[in-house]
Amino acid sequence: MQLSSLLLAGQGKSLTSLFSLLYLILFLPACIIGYTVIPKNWKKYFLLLASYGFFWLISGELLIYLILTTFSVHYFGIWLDRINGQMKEALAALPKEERKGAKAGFVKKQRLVVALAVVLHIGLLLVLKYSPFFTTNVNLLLNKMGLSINIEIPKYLMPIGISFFTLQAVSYIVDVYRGVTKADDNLFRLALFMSFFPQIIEGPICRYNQTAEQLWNVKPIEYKNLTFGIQRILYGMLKKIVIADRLNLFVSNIFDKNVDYEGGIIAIGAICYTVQLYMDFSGSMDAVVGTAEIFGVVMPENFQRPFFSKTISEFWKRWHITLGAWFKDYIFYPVTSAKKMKKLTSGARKKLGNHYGPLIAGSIALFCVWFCNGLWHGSAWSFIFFGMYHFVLILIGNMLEPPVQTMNKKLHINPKWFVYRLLQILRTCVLVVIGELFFRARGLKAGMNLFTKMVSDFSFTTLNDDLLKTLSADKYDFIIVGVTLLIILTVSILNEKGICIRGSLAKRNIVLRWCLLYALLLYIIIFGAYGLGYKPVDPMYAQF
Amino acid sequence: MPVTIKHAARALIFVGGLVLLLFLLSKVFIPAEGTIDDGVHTLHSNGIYGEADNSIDLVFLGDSVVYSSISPLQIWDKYGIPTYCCSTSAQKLWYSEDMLKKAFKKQSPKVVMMETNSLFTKFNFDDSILHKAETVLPVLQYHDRWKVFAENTFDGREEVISTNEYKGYKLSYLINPSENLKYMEQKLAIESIPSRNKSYFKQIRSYCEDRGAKLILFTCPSTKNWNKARHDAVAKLSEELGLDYIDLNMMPKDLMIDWSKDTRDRGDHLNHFGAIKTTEYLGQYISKLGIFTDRRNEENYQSWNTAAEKFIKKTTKAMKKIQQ
Repeated sequence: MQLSSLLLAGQGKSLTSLFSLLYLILFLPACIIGYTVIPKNWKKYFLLLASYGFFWLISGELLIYLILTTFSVHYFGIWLDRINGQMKEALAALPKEERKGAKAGFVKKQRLVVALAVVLHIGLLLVLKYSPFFTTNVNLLLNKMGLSINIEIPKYLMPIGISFFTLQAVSYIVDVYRGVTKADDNLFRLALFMSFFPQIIEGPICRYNQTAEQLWNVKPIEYKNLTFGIQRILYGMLKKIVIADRLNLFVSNIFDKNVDYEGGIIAIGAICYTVQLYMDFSGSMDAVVGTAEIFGVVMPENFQRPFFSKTISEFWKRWHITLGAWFKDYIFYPVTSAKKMKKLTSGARKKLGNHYGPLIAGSIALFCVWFCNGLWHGSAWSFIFFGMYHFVLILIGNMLEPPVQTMNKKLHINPKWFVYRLLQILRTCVLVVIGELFFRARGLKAGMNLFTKMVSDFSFTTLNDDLLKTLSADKYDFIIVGVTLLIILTVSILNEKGICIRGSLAKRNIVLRWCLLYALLLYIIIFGAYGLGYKPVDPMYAQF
Repeated sequence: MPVTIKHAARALIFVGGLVLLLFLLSKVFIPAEGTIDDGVHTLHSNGIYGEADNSIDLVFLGDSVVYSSISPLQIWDKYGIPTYCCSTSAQKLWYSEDMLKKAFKKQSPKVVMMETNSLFTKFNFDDSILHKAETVLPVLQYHDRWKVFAENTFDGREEVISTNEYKGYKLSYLINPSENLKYMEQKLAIESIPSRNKSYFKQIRSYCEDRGAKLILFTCPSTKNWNKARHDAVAKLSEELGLDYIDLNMMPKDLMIDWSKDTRDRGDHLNHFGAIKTTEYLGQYISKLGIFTDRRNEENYQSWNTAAEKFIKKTTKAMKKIQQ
């Protein structure tokens, strides 16, 4: 009775994450069993049904947004394809000299279709996600101007994952226009690409060419994929349940309570939040990639050990990789390759040289990328500041590159020297933590206050067991977080060196493999932050 | 290599091994009954396990509004009825059921009074499945005791819980007024009680019936948590199930709650001033049920007399000081 009420309630929120028990002990096993027993030709439809079922459980009737988006991009794609076909037919019938002019007309038509699709989908996202922020600021402005007009702040129900599947929809349309991919005439294939259940909450943001065919050309579940997938999910659980969720109360107490902590405590809070966010998001990604792996689907990786980065620029190539790649392909390149920008670059190159010349147009594009990146994360000034903070850091990094190289040469510093690289990594980590402090703070003003306090009053005089108790933590929490981080660091170093741990383990005998798996499971069960005394934490990136 | 029956059998053996390991670990992690660890998360409500066997005649169940609104020692002082507040913050119904079962292990209350706010506290599938798993494999509930082991190194030095000095009541003199005075006048559509909650509630009702305890529904005053829509839903449910129901929000003239003074957090919970009024009303109500006898002169209850005397003395003095 409970199960049927759960499935039919339609209230959404029955399922909150890939680490929920409902997912791990009911939904996923049911999918694996169903997928295995169903005839091959029906497997893809089964996956589609499971994906819509999953979305229903997390967002209820808001599933309609996903369905409408899928229909919309499907028909926009077909429309673009039809114009393309008409263009080919028309050009073939025309003499060579008239083709250029005729082509321009068709391209213009296609651009209008793309613009319409982008405005429609991004517009919907803007209305749902940003209109409260926009209205609040308009009201503030009107009040400052002395006008007593108060526009009602709209409230919309937003489906989980809309920021992710909207970007996926836009990339499909633009890729069809660019000829990177062909428009899909199969609505079900496109629907499965848009909705594949592991990725719908937090991404990764896939391109049509990356996953659509893999999902459609389904294979039976392989033993190796099943075991590797489960191991990857367990690794994600270790990150999320043992570290991220354990740090949650401590971080919330520092950032959400109006208590005047000394700078050192705020710094610990900022470090802990950075760790929490990384473990939460990358742990969820492990669950996504692991689940997809079970079904034989290779998903793009979203993280590549970002805290080994030597610069902020490198950090963002290793953190939330698919979002960065999306901004690069659909914002950065279109801006830099615009005619005016190209002209600007060639002019600047002559005056400023090969490094600084292209930097001007690149910086304008970079500004657009980071403005959108900040805004994508949330509708608040603190997120815009977060974007601008990284824009400035990357810009400074780009500008200082030649003088630093010269200085290194003069001082005979080898950039490959271990200590030098370690210092670069530490510097990057410090800058990232500062950025995350603003990201987590309750508003820009609060972020500024915390940062000022952290810098001006950096001490640990109040740090003791009693303070930790008021922050819902104790020394044992930090010990277990530290030990688990060491385990993850070891795995990360081995991965960075290209060593596949799961592959090596698979070659060992069953006793050792089972002992290690039992050890990992018991570690998560005993040291995990769940049950009474802990608050379940929804995936942090799902809210963006 | 595709998954074969051999692989499936191997997976089953693996899961079986894991369950066995968890079962064995449960033996290590489960605390002795009546120890601080046993009630580590909710010491005040778990104080009932420290009470003498079969000494409690009435149990109040519910969330924080219960331990903020009802003072068992005040009821004792006036009517000689031993009651206890088994209430915890944001208590969900599966937890209420659990608390009730634990309370019935050592007590035989004649009446169970259940506060209705919990009927609307949603909980998801994970909550209930974890709770069910915890009953089979207690290590899932007590896994956090590794911290205790780190301190005590398995030497069994565990302090036996004593009863809570206020019998589950949480005393607060804070005043933070509520301005939402017309909270019961809003015309709202009847709020539905989540189906999962209804199912748990029916289990609680059956449990009480099987043990011969009368189940009564009641609602504590709260301008933040309650409204007419909820009242109508509970009134309908109580009628369907033939249960008594008293909503203290519907009787402002009898209760005389002053929302400018009687709440500690803008109408969410009552403070001690409000609790005195609620307790007085409820005390009268339960004494008129004709079920209870006055136990103030019974030898086994002398500790209650001492506790009540101390409590009344302390609170009267503090209140006088505040009112000055």
